Amino acid sequence: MNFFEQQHQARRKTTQLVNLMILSVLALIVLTSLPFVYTGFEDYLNGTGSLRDALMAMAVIASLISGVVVIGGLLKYRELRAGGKVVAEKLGGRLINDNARSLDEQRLMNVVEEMAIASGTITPAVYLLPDETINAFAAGLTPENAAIGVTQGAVRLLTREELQAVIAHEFSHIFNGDMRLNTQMVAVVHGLLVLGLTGAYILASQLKIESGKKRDLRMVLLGMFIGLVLCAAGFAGNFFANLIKAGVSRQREFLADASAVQFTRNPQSIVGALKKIGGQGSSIRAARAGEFSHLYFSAGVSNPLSRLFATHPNLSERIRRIDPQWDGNFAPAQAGSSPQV
Amino acid sequence: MKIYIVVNLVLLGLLALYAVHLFNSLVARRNEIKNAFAQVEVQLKRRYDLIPNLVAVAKGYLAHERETLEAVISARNAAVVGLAAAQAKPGNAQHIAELGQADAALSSAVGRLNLTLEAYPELKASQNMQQLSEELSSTENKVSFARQAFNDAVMAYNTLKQSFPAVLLAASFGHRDDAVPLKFADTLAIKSAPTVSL
Repeated sequence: MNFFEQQHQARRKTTQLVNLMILSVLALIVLTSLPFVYTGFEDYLNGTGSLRDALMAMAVIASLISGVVVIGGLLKYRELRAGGKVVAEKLGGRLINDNARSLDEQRLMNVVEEMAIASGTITPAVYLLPDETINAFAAGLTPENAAIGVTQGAVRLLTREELQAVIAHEFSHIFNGDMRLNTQMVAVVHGLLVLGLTGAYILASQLKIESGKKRDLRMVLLGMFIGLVLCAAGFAGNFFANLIKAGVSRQREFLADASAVQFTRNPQSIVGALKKIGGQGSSIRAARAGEFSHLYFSAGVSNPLSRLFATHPNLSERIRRIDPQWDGNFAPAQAGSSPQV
Repeated sequence: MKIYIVVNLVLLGLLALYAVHLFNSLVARRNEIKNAFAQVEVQLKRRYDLIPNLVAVAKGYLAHERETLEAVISARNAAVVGLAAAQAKPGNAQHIAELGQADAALSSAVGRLNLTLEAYPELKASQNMQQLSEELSSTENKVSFARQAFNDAVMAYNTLKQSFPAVLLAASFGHRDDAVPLKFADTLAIKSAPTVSL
């Protein structure tokens, strides 16, 4: 399979997953509002109420619920909208545009400029991260405020061609608008979490026993019911939305690998970089690394629930997609490193 | 009768909209080609500016290799003239072909110089030389990536103006000739059989 076909396949799977996400959020909202309007539909079926009333009630409840999700999502989106430079500085990066201190840094800048020409985008801000492992990331919602970060280890351990492939991979994330897509998905996931938290809050406030106050048992039960439904829907939705989000993220990695081959026309360079990561590890130490895990070249934070929630596909699978004849051996790890895939 | 006129007017309007859209797309694509070619020129210029530095650094070590150095300098000067001619008349196929030849001659002269440099490890290890060869190889890459982008732009333009129904209108909009993809050193290299010396 050539790289154009691989890109096409990754794009098609992304579309399917995003559609699945939209459909499931809509279905979740409808399902959540059903218990509240149950009586309305019962009245209609018994002939005592009209269908219009039942649908109206449903619309009101559904818009209340989606309101909570949308507000939660928008809050998170606003927080994440910060440009790539902010992300790079949070991860401890140092800007090296026009400020290269060594031959290695100048080489990195040159490679970035080459890839900007190859992909037809403008040269982004380039940051060097202090980590000795091999990794890189791209951040920022538009090409204009994008930033690329590369670890010290990547600059030191990769050959010029391999570094070029890693940078081309990051340019693909900028070029294909992956940061925007990912931020939107994070916002949806967060909106569902807020829904669940709202439910949990209502539930907890009903359970709190206040002495000296007599309360209507039916009201308490109703409140608990509302809280329980919102809580279950929110947390279940959050769980599945996270699964879908991770699936999309993995497809975008395949897309970026295939685009790296397109920009460099050199499949062996990206395979070489991936093999070295297999031997050397790619973890990023910065305290806030987890927040930005979807941006990295290779998994920056290990995830206990691993495969289902992984933002990056398995290294071996990524290598095999580009080089089906691979024998399964990573480049030898260097002394003092902890291999982490 | 009235309906007939209305339908015709709507159809005419749609046709006019398509013509405007096509005209604008053709202009945009042609400007993309010009921009991509300007990028190639910028990178070639940079390459020609770097070569005197390479010669200056190498001179101190290569006292008895004057011929090689002079060949590089004269090939570089010829390429600069070719680039100036191509810039004066953008899109002229003959000038582009000449520039391609001059650039190929320069590449082979620099290649010979690099081979000579292999015999001088202390020169290769010097800080100046390392920086210079990094800059040179980066510029070579930029030239080839800029050519890749130029040829992609040419392909997009030609595909647009040759497809139906654009092909009926393109000529009357002033887009008569197909754009020509760049043929540079590689084309010559591919045509000549590889030589291996042991």
